[in-house]
Amino acid sequence: MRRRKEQSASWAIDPLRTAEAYSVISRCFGGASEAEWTAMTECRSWAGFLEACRVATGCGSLSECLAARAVEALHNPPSYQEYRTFCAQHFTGGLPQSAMPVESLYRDDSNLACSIPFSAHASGAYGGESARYMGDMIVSMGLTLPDAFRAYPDHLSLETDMVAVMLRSGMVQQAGQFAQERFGWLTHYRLKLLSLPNGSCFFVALVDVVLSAIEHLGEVIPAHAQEPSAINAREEQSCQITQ
Amino acid sequence: MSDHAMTRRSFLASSAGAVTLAGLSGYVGFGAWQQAHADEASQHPETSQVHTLCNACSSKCGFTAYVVNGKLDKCIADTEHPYAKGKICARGYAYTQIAYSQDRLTDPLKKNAKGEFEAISWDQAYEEIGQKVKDIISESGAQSLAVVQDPRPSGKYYSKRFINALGSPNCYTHGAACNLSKESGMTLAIGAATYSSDVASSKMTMFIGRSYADAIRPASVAALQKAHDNGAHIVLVDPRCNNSITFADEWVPIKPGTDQALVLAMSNILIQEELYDKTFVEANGNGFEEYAKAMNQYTTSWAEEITGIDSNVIDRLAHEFAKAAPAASIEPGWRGAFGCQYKNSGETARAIALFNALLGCYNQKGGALLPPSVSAGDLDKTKFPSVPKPDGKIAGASEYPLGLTSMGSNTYATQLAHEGKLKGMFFYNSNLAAGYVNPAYAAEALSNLELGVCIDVQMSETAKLCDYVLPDTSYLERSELPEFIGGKVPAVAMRNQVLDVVHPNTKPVDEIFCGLAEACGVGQYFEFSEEDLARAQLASVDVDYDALVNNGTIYFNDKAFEYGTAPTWKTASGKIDFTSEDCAKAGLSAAPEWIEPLTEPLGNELRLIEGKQAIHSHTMTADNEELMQLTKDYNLTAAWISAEDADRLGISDGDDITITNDQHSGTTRAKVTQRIKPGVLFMPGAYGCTVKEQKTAYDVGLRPMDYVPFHIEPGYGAAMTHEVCVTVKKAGA
Repeated sequence: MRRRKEQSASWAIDPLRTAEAYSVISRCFGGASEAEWTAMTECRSWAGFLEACRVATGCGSLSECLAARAVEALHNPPSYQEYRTFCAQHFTGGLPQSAMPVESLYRDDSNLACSIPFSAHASGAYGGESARYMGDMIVSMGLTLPDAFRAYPDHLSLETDMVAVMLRSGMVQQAGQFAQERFGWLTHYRLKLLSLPNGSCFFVALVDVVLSAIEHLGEVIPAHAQEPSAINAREEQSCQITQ
Repeated sequence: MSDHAMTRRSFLASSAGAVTLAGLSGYVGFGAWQQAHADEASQHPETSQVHTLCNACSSKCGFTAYVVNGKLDKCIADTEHPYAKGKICARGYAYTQIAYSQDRLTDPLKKNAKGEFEAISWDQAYEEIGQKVKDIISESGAQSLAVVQDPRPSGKYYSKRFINALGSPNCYTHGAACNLSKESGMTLAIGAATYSSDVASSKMTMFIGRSYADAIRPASVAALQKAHDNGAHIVLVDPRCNNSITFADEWVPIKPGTDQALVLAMSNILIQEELYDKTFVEANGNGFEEYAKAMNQYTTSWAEEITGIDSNVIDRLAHEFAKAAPAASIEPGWRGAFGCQYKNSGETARAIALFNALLGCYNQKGGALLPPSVSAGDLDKTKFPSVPKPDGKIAGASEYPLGLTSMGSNTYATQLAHEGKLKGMFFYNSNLAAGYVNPAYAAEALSNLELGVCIDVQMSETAKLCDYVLPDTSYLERSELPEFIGGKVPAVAMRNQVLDVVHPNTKPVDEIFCGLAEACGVGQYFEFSEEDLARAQLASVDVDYDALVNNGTIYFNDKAFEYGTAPTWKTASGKIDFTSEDCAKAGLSAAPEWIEPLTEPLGNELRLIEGKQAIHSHTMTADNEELMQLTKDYNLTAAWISAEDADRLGISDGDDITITNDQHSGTTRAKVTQRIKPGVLFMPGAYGCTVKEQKTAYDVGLRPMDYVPFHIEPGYGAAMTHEVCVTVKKAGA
């Protein structure tokens, strides 16, 4: 259950610390190698990440913004073996337990022009409008779409990475707008993670950090087109999964 | 702030993870992008056109794919392609969605100790499979390995080459659950696995169990329409009044499994009344006297008793055939009524081929044509080394000697796996466990394997039973070897790559088999690319690769068929074999004498038959949202039951009915109709998917094969998919 922000909360943006949180989240969903995971979850590094999450969400402490179970999950990242197994079982396509973190698979774009040939359906398939948008964004910014993400430029790893890149580049306003526009699908994705048989609490917690961080961005950056359902829907859900 | 570089590492940017604002070309906002994208797409679309081949059924119709800004935009059927002739069917359009489907497999998978699949690297998959194959060969011999594939241009080449390179002759097609009996029976009689009924020019064509309108090949439907418009007499012999009735003159309801009796009785009339083409038979026949003597017993009254068709109708049809000959034939069928369905399927096919011989219609206008075909010639052995011929024959060749070894009996292979005699099986584009044999039996069989490897684009019942699943690209993302097409003017067409590979960790089938071969120690036979091979195959028949890419279809006009050409009979005797020594050796009669079906409904039982619908190709297209929506809109999962049977059982149209036998029980909706013969229940074959991975297909409708016991057609080796009876009652009654 989402918590109310306390008095100790910050009402400013620290772009670099916020970017740090997005970068680590990007890595977590992007299939980190053992060396990367070990380095990332080493005590000092991870403590830095947790502090970055606090800053990104604008909370006095993470427990002000996140449910206790999410905070606990964040404080106890999975071992590499657990992480690798989760990725191998869930971050691959075509299985009942697949939970590919790809916007096209979750966003309902029924109001958009049909993006899949000969189909009345505009969601639930790779390569939707969000993928093409992200692909164009990446190119227009002079960045390179990694080959591993060729099928899904709208992968959560790239979307969170994009926010981090913008923040580090001083594009705070644009990062806020981008995050508010893009991450509405995470409420659906969060439900998918919650439906998995086990081990998803850590990733649910990461999603919760992103959603809280968007909310914070929305509070401190002049309003852009928000998707209020993204936040409200999350308040109705909580992680009931035992790790 | 953390000073660890990991916290600043970016997938998109440099290690500093920063870019300059100047790099942004005007839109961060999605709305601005949409507008810019729409303007750009409409004003400066990057459009390409590619001739390629459909993959939604085995016809492989040619079409031109239009790709705009990297996405498939539209498909226009190729007028030059002999099967499409300017049209593709609903499947052809809808199946293109497979490229972007959320149910696509994206990585190699390995089953863990808990029976769950996990993504692994290609290196790990190849290494482990290669080692296991070597272990199996070392311990049990190469003969204990097999591959099963539903032929596609590249898949049929690479799968056979791979298994042969390992030293095993065991390459099976899907045929035992499709057209093995038909192709084998006809080969025994006329030395060709099939012929082409010249429907459009015929005066009379009889279709037995085959429906062009329910298993669409556009050119065939057009030919049927033309025949109908020309006033040809089109007869449908089928327990069910199928959808080809639109272009037919009469429906002759027949008791399932008795088509052979009808053909034998009509043959007898032609012989007894000397209505057959004596000149043709004398010139081309072998063993006619013994055959004629055997036919003598098959009177119309005898056939009426067996088939349920009035003897006068049988008599009339035979006389109409004689009058229309030689511009008449019984159409060869495909799967239909005698491809694999009954204990007498192979012999039915043989009887049909011989009936056409009595008409003297081979290679006659409007008759049964044996047009020329073209195939690739010899290739440079230094580039494409021959694989040593494996020792022995394909498993099943001795047990089912009448079945074509080019197809083999996958049914028997399944039995060998069940018995633990086959140790390792590879599957390509094949869902054996759902559609070829009884699924429960198949599950037991495949669970016995020491190694099961499935190559496919999405999870299937078969893939779920395997140890490794290797993700194929969709057909739109790869080029394939040339497809040679027989016909009045033989042709060649080719699947060309339409889209960039969508999922980077998938591979086209040719690369997968090359990787497997390398891992198994036989990579020396695969040191060429698919394109190199395609170029060489085409060059061997004087066709330029680039010309084919540009044109889509190229015809061999110098090989064009001419009416009246004397066929070459590639039989044991070099003539039409009215009797077959091979059949006699296999325990059947030398002449195609009557064989009773294996099963007969008792009491309240109905005979269960199944068939295709125009919008589905068995289980292959069931996971498509658009096609499944048609299924739901038109209630196409319903089982057809005759009004007479329904009334007797207290069933009304639209009722839920429970269908039961000793193999399975399930509930579906009833379609009460006059369009099916009493005593018969029809179920469509595309439904009843049991893998949750296919989100659209899962748990929709019933699967006919669940009801079919595991058994094998004597002599021929097919699955006898209609040798099954069921009871039906109103659900909850």
